Amino acid sequence: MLRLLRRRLLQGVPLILGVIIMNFLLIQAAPGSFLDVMSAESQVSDPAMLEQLRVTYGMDQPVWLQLVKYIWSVARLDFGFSYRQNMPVLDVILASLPATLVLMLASLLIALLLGVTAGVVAAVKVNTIWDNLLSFLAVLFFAAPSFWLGIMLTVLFAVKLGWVPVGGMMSITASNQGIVATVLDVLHHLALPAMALGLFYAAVYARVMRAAMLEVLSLDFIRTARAKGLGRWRVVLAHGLRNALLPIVTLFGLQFGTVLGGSIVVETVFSWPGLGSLMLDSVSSRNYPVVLGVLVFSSIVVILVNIAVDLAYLRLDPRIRAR
Amino acid sequence: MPFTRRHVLAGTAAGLLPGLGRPAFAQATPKRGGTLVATWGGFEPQALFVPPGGGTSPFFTSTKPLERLLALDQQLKWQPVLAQRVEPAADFRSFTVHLRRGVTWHDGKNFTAEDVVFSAMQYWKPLSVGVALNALTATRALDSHTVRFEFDRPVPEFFFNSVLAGQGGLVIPKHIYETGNIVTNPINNTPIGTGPWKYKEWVRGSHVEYVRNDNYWENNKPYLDRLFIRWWRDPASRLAAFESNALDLGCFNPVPMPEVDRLVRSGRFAADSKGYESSAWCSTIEFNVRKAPLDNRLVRQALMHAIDRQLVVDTVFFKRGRPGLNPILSANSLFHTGDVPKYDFNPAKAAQMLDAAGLRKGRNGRFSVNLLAAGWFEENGKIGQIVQQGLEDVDVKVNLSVPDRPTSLKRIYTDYDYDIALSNYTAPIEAVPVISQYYVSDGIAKGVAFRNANGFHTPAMDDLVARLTVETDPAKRTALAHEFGRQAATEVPFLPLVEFDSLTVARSDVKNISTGSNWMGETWADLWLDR
Amino acid sequence: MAVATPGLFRRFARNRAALLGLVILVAVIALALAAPTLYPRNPLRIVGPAELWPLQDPRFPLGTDSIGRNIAAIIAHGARATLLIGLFASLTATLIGVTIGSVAAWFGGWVDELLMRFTEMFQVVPGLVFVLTIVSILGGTVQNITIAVGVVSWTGIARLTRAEFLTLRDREFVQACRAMGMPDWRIVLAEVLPNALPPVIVLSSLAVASAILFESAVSFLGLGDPQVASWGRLVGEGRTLIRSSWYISAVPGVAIMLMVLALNLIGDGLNDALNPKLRNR
Repeated sequence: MLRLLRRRLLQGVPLILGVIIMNFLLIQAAPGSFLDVMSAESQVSDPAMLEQLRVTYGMDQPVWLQLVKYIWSVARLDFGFSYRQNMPVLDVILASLPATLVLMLASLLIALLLGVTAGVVAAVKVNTIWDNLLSFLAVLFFAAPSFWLGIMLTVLFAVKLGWVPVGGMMSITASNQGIVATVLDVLHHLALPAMALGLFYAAVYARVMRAAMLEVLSLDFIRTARAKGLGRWRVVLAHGLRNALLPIVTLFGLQFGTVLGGSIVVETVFSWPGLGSLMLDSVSSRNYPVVLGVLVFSSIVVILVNIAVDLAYLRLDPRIRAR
Repeated sequence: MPFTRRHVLAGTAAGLLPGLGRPAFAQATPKRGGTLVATWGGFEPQALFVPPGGGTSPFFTSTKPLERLLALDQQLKWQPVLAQRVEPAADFRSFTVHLRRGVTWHDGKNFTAEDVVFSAMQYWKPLSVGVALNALTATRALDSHTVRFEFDRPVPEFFFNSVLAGQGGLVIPKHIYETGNIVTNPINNTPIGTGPWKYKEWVRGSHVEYVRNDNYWENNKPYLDRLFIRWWRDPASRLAAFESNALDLGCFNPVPMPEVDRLVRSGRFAADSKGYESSAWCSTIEFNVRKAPLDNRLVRQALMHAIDRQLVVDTVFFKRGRPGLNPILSANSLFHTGDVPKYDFNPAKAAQMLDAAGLRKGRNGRFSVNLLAAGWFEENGKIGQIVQQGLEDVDVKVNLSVPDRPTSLKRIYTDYDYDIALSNYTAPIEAVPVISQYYVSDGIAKGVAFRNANGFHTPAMDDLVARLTVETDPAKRTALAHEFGRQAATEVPFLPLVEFDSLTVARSDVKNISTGSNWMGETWADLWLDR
Repeated sequence: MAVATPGLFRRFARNRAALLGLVILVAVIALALAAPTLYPRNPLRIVGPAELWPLQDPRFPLGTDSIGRNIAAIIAHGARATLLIGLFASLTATLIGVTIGSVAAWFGGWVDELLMRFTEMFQVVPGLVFVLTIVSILGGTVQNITIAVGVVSWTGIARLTRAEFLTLRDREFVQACRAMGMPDWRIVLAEVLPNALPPVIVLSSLAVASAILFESAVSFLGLGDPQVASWGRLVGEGRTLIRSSWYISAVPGVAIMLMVLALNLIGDGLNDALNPKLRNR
């Protein structure tokens, strides 16, 4: 297991190097630098002043030198300096990261809970009205764009019913009322964005779960267990669920990056102050230290999650362990 | 021109007696205390204070802890802030500024002439003000609270005061900024100034909290205890925040325009379009005169007749605006004139004028243009559709693109890669250089944003602006400004398409709003809550 | 060709959901084809008062948007753009994916290693982030969005193609061709590829659906092509008016959902029809 871990980590290094080079060159090709944006916002209108800023920001150096310097600093976990925020890029990312993690985890939790439940119910009650209804909902949410779902949820639950806030992550006064109030406040704000992002994955999990459960339910040992007189639900939960979770874990690893991407749009819809909002702002202001930082950082996270999933797989499936 | 030294003096005396110097806004005795949550119709700033400027958002946040020497009030009169008096020399080649005594920085150090000298030479001239201070040769501290500014040519008094009260005129503490780089100093995220509000905490992605400066130089102010500036990413969220009492005040169109009337009708909120006189916005149309047939003045005038600008006002700005006439906008009661050539919506006349210019209708239209609508405001895309429709109706082929902000800036100001561009500007009351540089040969500087990108220049216009820059007689200067507007509207290289209003929305119990000509950037020391 | 077995449609049609998907798709294609006849003028023209609700005025069955454009016309013309972008983005992805996957599998060794690392590189970067970066760099035209979406969608296809190739590479009929002295490129194109294609086609049809979602997200964020009627952009433009006129966002969203739904159902049906052995998946 340790050997596998080491091998996978080593494989990750050239991967990250490739990601850095690819994205660095991509962003260099962009028309309009962040200096254009900055000077326009500031109404800086003196060419000499622009030249001075160019030197201050190291943009007068050749591209390859900037690239080499960048790779070298990433190797030391330094993602550069964002002049826009006037902070190290890593600090900028870490400031936005918790919000995104909270959103992602909440969505994945919703997805797992709803998806697994729906999948199990559909499989156990296969070909009944329940199965049909759940399968119909699953294809529906599988097809609905998350940003649109978010807007529609907002119209219903925030605008018409007034149950939850329209956007943001917490009320301004919450931080003064103790930790419990703050957590409740965040959860209150979290409900809609987590649903908007999570329902798609709930649909995915429901489909996978249903198929996997059907397969497991038809296996011999389940029939044996049933014949031994064990209760219907206990059989399902004791044997079926555990075996059917394998594909779900795989999907979780594969989709971690997608969820991260999906959070961009959902964060925009709900004014959620996470990496997605940061990324969009940074792309539109050509703040490439941050754009690169987010791309590289999220790639590293995705790689690490995939390694973790591989290891989890090893524990879950004895057949693989034997190899 | 009625704005002379006397007014600054009058303002000085009044400044000691709150409520007198400020126009008749003080309805009742202000109450002390309370917390206010404010926002604006845009995003969180990149840093709380961005020394070179950084746009409206950092301007909003930096002007609460940091102050300027003068302020321009709602009646367009100068009010003393850190300066008590500004005296021009007889030849208008130097100005003596008498500073307020007994002012301290938030860290307890005294505010002195050295801070102003440092700000002027190390900060304003090279970074924040730029070309407007080209003529400044030296700044000297005559004593601990007197500073003399020296110029190499006569400078109109209004112009000089505009610099001191302008967006770039924040006074920064020398003892903090003299070492290292002003732009990258980490203190910019926890600014230290002389203002009524002290920085307490910035929760990125949410809000910044300011607390009352108990040592503020103006007695009893600020009235509030705490001031929050919070950001939401879209108008619908701000609307919801207003309705759930999470927000008291929003500047610069915080909520969707169609919803404003509903809010005001509820009686709980008030909307005010005042307080933006020195930061009025417009959407502009710009003809690249390097490209035929747009080099022909007749063609440019004809195209103006083809655009239904009232439709833009009605649909894009929900009737809160008006077709633009003069680059010096109508909110500028000092220098604006409506006595300029006007271009009403008249497609038939436009077609006729194009015929007269020899551009007859062919199989592929009269000619085709690349229309660029700058994507930094969502509205520009919609205006693009209306302009496209108008031009196509007089048989001009249009290829519309709406690039995002960096690409728009590059295509308009660096590559000159457009035929017609739709963009925006916001202008202070003083027209030089912010507005004038769009029309003169000096203003052509490849790669510099918000300058003359269309290549237009005539000797007459260059000469007019040169005279406007150095004319120190207020009455003559106003006449020159009127002539500038007429020339610009006749030549049509670049004109405001529509002027649109900015609105402040506030709960009815928030008092003393809109008390400056660029109120978002005032210190808000006099803001209070009637609760 | 192996793909066109006679029972194909019968097997496909046995999945009634897939049949429903096909009906929706055909309806959307019909709408797209009829758009220039139904609404001959530019759909982005302002033709009426702003914010008319659906059914309020018979001229505008789906209402008008925030500046008075006919939503029905935008939906009809938007169908064309949506279909074309989805189709061509999927074709791009398939072309890249099949090429890389087959080359990697056929040559094996360091070529395989290199190409798979290359594929992984694209896999770990969040797709939407990448699309947005590319689109804002190249500019938001239909062609650029198509290419950008294609560029981020090919990795799954490459992996699948590779896997299929690996199982086919050492089969007897391929060995036989080798023995007959057939050149590599002919074996790959004429023998291996047709047999590897069926599962790839399923994935490509699903890629059309995800491409449509990508396009709508890009347009929603305001980075799309302003010259083209787009469903996603209409959703985004209606956002500020969700209090008074939420239908502006709702209508085009339903269109996107139906379209993606149809393609997913068809993909399932194709899966059943082309890969009978995988039916229970």
